[in-house]
Amino acid sequence: MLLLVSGLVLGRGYMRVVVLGAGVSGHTAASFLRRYLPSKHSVTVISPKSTYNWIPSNIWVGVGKMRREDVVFELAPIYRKAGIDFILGKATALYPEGDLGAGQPYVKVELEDTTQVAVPFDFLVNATGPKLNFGATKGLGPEGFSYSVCTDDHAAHASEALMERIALMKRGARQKFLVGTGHGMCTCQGAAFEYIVNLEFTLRQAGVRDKADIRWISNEFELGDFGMGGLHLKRGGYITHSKLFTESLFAERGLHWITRAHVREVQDGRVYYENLEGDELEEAFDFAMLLPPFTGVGLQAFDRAGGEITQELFAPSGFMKVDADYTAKPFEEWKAADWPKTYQSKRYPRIFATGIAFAPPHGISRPMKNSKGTVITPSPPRTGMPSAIIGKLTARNIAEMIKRGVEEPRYEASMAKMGAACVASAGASLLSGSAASMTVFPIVPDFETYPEYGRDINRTFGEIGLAGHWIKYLLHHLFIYKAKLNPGWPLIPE
Amino acid sequence: MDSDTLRDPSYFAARPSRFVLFLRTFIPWQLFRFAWINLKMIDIISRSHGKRIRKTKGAG
Repeated sequence: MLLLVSGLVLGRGYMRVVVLGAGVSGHTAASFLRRYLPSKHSVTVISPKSTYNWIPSNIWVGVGKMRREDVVFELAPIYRKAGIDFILGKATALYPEGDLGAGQPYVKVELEDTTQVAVPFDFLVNATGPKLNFGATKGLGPEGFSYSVCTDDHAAHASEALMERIALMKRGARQKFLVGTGHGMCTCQGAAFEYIVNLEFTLRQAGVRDKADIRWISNEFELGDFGMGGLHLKRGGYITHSKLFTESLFAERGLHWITRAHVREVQDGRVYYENLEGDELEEAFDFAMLLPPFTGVGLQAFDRAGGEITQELFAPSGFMKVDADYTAKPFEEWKAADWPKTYQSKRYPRIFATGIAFAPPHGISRPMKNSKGTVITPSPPRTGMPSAIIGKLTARNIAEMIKRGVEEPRYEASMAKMGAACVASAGASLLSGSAASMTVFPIVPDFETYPEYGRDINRTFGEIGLAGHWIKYLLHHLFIYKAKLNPGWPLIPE
Repeated sequence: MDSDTLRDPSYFAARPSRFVLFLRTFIPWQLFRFAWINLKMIDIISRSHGKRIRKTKGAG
């Protein structure tokens, strides 16, 4: 195996910071690390993909409103311009203590041509994102019988199939659409929500809405859970639950729904699922967009002597353990304080995990299982705004640790103290489109600070309208501008 | 009304009135909402970027 010392010619006292992954969190972390650190320190990004994908806009690719090229761009020229080293490859194992040959901690990376290299580091940011675990449900995913919008390729593939369905409907055929989650432990219900309402809008615009039956299927206990246990909103003189907000939009659009469902198998034109009552049911479809559950990407870890320490660094889900309280406890004992604050590994203080790659201490939604023991509960979301904020926070902490020569992070941002602003598209058109604009504070409910609803009811709100679409459209361009590190990019907030 | 309608949960959901639907795409109202939503979001963003860790007495 080659020992690859990437980057610039480094002087004395330099540090090597390696970022695994170039998604929202990893790219944000790398960009801010380069900004905060003097040039004598190196910043290296390792990613198996050569492109950056602005994932929130994949929804519009998936319904044919945007092209794949509108949501991706090549990373290498951006990193070259910024002074960030880029390695196109897949990290497979961590050696946080080095090994008997090399005293330096390193990451084992498989390059595109399958060559194995070792990339040494002083600080490591694990921002690999998730593995899309289509294999958890038989027949799920683009290689099975359903579509996905998790990647730009998946979304483009879904769009092609949708256009074929629309052509069939224009010739008079009826079609049945099924959208939602493809397993009982999925997260990202928000993305599926955006897809179903955009699908409905697209069919209306194509003049074939009357030929379509559109149905939602998800693992949520109630609509509007979104993996956050739902939220209470102040609207129209009432405090209402997001269940009412979401049901109202679905009813208005003529969408029907199945909740509390664990999809067990997808076959050509049919899904088989069980619900919380333990009933085994099935649903026919002509087109299904079902999101997969997530797991960690399967990184292994070894100590200096070569002994495997994967279980010490990673949770059983494959996500990396950080400064959270992972003690198993019942729902009633879950606390906001269980959630991590600095995203620093407890065992290796120079390793951090950000975005989806960090292991949450537990869910946010109340855990549910049926009489057969099947868990049907959304996993907690860590995408979008929190993912970018955590990436930036980690960059700030590592830069301070390097500059001050200390091992303790200086800043914290728990998801139980952090809010999120979310704009969920409900139809893409500058004059007739709409989106659900929502703010939630904090993301993880804190019943000690806010005993009634777990959140600040004056800062948790939602509404649907054209203004939301304008914001979503502006954010698409702003965030791609920012991700390309164009002039003034740090001024655009995460 | 048939029994299938009563089994469909969407029958029991709140639906927006024609006036609410009109406001959702009425440009002057939406320009105002655009500004208002942005202010709400700026408030959330300004509170969510973390803070400096304060050491308690005796710690560290």
